[in-house]
Parts: sequence; C-alpha cells; structure tokens
Amino acid sequence: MDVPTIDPAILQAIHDTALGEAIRNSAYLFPTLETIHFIGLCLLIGAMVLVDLRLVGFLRGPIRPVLVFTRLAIAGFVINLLSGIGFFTSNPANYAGNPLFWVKMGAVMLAGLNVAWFELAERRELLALPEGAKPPGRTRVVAAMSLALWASVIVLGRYLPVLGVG
Amino acid sequence: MEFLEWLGRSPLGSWVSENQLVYYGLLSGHAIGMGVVVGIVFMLGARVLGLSKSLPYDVFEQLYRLAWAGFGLNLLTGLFLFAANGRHLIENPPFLLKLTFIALGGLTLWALTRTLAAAPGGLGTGGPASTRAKSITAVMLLLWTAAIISGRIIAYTIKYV
Repeated sequence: MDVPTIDPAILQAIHDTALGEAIRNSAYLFPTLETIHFIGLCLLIGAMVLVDLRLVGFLRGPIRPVLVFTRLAIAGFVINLLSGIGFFTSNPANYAGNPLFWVKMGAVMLAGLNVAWFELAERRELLALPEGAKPPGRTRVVAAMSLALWASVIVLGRYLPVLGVG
Repeated sequence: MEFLEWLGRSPLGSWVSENQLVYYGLLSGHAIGMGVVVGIVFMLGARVLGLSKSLPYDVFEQLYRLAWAGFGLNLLTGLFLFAANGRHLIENPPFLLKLTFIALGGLTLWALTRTLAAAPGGLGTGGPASTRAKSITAVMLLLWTAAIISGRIIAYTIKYV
C-alpha cells in the first residue's frame, strides 16, 4: 500500500518540537495520552450510541433532549484530536509511514463529513418534527453511517501496530 | 498456575498470541465493547449530573440490553486474551485492580438505576436528579475511569513470554 509522501524535513521538524521531545523523554506521558484517548473514545461512542440509535429508531422518546448529547461527542472528538496529535508528534515518521494510519484518518474524515452533513442539513429539520414522529429515511441513513464509521475508526486504530508502532 | 501455563501453550492460547489479525481483532472488539459500556455509563452520568434535564431516564433503560451486550463482548474477548497470557495476567496488579473496578462500577450502576427508579415518577420522567443519585454517579464515573486507567497500565506492566 502506498502512503502519502510527506517531506522528511517536515516530519523531522515535528519530531524535534518541545512536545515531541517531552513525550519521548517521559515514561508516563504516552500512556497517559493513551488513557485520555480511551476516555475520549467512550465519550464519543457513548454519545453516538445514544443519538444515532434514537435517530435510527432503535430507541423511543423525545428527540430534542437526546440531540443535546452531541456536545459530549464533540468534547470526545476534541480530546482525541489533541491526544492523537500528541502520539503523532512523538514519532511522526512511524505514523506517516503506516498505511493503516492514513486509512484511519480517511475514515475520521468521512465520519467528520457525515457529522457536517447532519449539522447543516438534518438538525434543524429534526427539531421541527412533531413529538414522536419518525425521522426521515435520509436522517436514519446518516445516523447508521455515523455508527459504522466510528466503529471502523476504533478497529483501524487498534490495528495500527500491525504495520508500525502503536 | 500450571493450568494457565498449559492454557497459554494450548492451541487456543497460541492461536491468539501467534496471530496478529486475531490478537488485534480481539483488542478491537474489546475497545468497541468498552466504548459501548463505559460510553452509556458516561451518558447516564452526564444526564444525572445535569445535562439535558428534560430527557426521561427510560431512554437509558432501553439501552441496558445493549450495555449488557457490550459487557458480554468484553467478557468474551477478555477471556480469549486471558487464555493467551493468563499466567502473567493473574499476578499483574493492574489487571486485578481493573477487574475490581469493573465489579464495583457495575454495582454502583445497579445502585444508581435503583435510586432513579425509586424517585417519584420513576424512570419515565425528566427533571433534576436527587443529591443521592448525583453522589452515586460521581463514584460510578470515578470507578469506570479507574477501570480504563488500570486497563491501560496492564499493557506497560505485563510480561508476554
């Protein structure tokens, strides 16, 4: 599998930052970032389970108060973006050279586009629905895709060490 | 001990430890199960602590079966991973702590659902939670977070061979 070519000088510059240096030189920082990454994962997946399963129709009840939980999904995503930048900075050549890392980033991007579509095209319409009404088929597809994409992001992340370092 | 050593060398144990696809597949399943179980616990905790007060608790009751399914997935993937390296896991303090935190986390989740169901109006109503429910929730969130932390430490303290 081909990976995107990134100028080695850029990777070296990221490697040499104070952040990269600090994570490499500490026995505790990397495991701490991993733990934070897992907690962010739980926030993101927990919020998506609640919101998406309601939109798909697996859960009954009012929609509006469920949609409030997208805030926790955003919080989880930001936590994982920041901790993920920490991983990358500690060993840029490893991640940039790992095809699975790029597939994972591609899946994150698709999941992000799916979220953007939901926010721009679906949310307002959903909030206008009468109490107890079923979301339109289009919204249910977006919700199902969200669950599938985030699950694939987890699997790809877990398989990273097969073609590189964790 | 001898049994766990035998188990690690058995066809099942070696199938897990010598097969990268299998090993990381089990870890992937374990991570998804964690996301489902702890994710649902986190959402319920956020609701009790004051997020989206108009949401009735019965939406979480509808999720209990899924939470149990996530737990079952992690028990199963966990048993496979244990088969590969049980003899080291059984004397690894973070592993034993993790199991303890999960047991206590499950107990507090059960206590919380009992408290919520006993409130006037039961699970079908929204509104702010009682101080008692909030206290149990704080402990529950700490315990499940501790389970994640100790689980991560296993990877840095366990012997593989």
